[in-house]
Amino acid sequence: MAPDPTNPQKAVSQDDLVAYLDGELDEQASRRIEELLVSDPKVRKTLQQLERTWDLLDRLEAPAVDRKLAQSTLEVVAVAAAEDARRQQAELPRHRRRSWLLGTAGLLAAALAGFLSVTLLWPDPQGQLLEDLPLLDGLDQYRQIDDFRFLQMLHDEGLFAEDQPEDQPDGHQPDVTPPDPVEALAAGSSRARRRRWLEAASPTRKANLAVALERLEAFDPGEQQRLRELSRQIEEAPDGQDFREVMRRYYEWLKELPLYRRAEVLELPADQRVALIKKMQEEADQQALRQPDPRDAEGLLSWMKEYAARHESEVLGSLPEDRRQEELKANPEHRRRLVMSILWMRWHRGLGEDVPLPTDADLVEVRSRLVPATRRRLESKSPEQQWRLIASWARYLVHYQGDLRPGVAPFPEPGEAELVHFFEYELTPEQRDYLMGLPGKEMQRHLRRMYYRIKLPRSLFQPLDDPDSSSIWPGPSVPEPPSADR
Amino acid sequence: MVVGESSARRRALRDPDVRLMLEVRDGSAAAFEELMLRHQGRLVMILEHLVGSRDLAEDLTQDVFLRVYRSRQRYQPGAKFSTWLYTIANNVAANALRSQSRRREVNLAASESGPLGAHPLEVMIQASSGQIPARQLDKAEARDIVRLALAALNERQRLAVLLNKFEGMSYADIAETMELTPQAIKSLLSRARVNLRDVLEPYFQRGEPPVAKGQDFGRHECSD
Repeated sequence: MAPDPTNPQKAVSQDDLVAYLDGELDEQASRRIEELLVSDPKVRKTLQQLERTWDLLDRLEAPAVDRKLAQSTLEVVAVAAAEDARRQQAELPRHRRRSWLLGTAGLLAAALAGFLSVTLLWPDPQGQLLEDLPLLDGLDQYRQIDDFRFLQMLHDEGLFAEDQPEDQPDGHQPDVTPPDPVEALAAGSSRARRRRWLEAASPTRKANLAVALERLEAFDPGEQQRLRELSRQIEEAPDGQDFREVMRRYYEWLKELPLYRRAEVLELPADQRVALIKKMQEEADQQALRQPDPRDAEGLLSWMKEYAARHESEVLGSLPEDRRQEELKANPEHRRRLVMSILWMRWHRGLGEDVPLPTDADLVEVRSRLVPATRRRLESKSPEQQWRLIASWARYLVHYQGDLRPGVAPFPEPGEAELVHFFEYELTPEQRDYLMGLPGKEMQRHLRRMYYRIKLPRSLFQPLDDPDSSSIWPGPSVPEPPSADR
Repeated sequence: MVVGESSARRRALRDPDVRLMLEVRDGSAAAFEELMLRHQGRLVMILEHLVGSRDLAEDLTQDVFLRVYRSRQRYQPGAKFSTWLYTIANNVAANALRSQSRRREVNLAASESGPLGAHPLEVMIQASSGQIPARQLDKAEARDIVRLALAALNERQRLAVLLNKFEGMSYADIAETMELTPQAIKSLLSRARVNLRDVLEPYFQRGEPPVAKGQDFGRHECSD
């Protein structure tokens, strides 16, 4: 149901009606629908039909699944578990296989012995906690690591390696984070030192460690042994501190992945997983190269504005006369935007031609406004490559500004409600289909791009009647969306 | 986002599946069995509607649970368990459909159209010809008609409908499962429900077979 532009109070989208039935509308929107239901028989009828046909789906009863399937699934899983265990055992060095078997049996016996044996072994009530201190402080991180070999592969491949020292923009002092006490204590530290540290720890931290110990002791003996062995290997490694950092970053990275992606990564054997992680990180690096560092947004924009102001007459001079006259009559803000857009489009496409060619001094100037990491990245490239990157970032700032620091964008940023309205009422069904075929974040970016294409003055985007303007968009090549022009 | 132990516990209190999965993570076979029995039926049903075959759906269900089991030690209670489960199921089904397409040398366009192929309505009309007199439909027939109407939706619409209807997932959870935005899900479900209405309403009100709308079926907009 299309909104009725002549009567905004009556405007209700089909999407909203369905969302109302699903209880997904906020209170205000629900009230609006309810008012319409009272006053508009057509809306009422539509709603009833939608509800009735939705209820018909109840006839699709869940098939009765007998115990055989459950039994069969359990068998499949049991076989897989046995294979996993065999593989795990085969990966152990020969001299450890026997002890692994003995150890498993021994741990089962130990589990039966229960609290008494633990007390006998560790008469100190904090003994086990002190013994496992580094492991307990990062229990979840340790659990994500299959074994020391896997951690070593991540480390040797340089994955999750420490970033280069990241100095701050001029005038800012880097934050100094003191080393974590547990990590400082980890490598072969004495129990007395650990005890002193524990006594000085905050009550929350102590409580967290106690909970972690409780969790650890609830694991099956094999898992406890695996984790303690891993912790011991890390402690004994000469670069144990590096390994712990790699482990921590791997854990943080893993958590940020979408669930399905995480499941895909985790189900792979170690070698293949490392290869996949490497590939994913390379792709992320490529993507990062196309986007400006958010900390540079302000510096880049201020430089762009000043540069555009300095070269306004030259840029306008490159336009056809009638167009130039038209732009001269426009307000200064509009002219500034036009000049900026022409500059970045031309730089990206071919550097110069009929717009001012940036000089080495300009390059030095723009670099001086960026954070040191970006400066270093730029300085490793040729001047032409530097300008291409700067042009790319400038364009990104215009189109994907919502991803960057708010408040520094050159154009007003649409709010969520405005974007939703734009999506629902101002796009064609083909455009909506196109957008809905994109992954979530991509969809948001392309939606914003369509918004700017339609909402901003057309002259910003096609200043020189170039039919191929779409070729300058950043990022991997994607099918061009259906035209936003209606 | 850091999922600490305390937030995990809070989440577990809200979602019994998370509690079970945490027990599975800690090595409880009984918890795994319980989890499997809780979800198996609906999972088979949803996969059957996605891949169009009961046998394949059962195989894929086993595959999904095997993946759950293999990922158990790394499970982090960062979302509703069912969101995670159906994300895996969605990927498993998509892989199966891709393999099927390759094996049968069916082009992409056909696979987009669902298990009934590129012209689902024609199949529906053939399947139902002679079975839709203007009388009360019996239960089995009604179920078949509904199943065919669902099959005529495209894959994305179908999955969104199944998760919404049978898993009771919110738009946000479906969005996370399908890697789309909630507003995309809103639009997807809206069109799916309109499509279902357009096919089912004439059947169940007047016993009329649906009128084929050509390639537009599954995409046309509500005309009200």
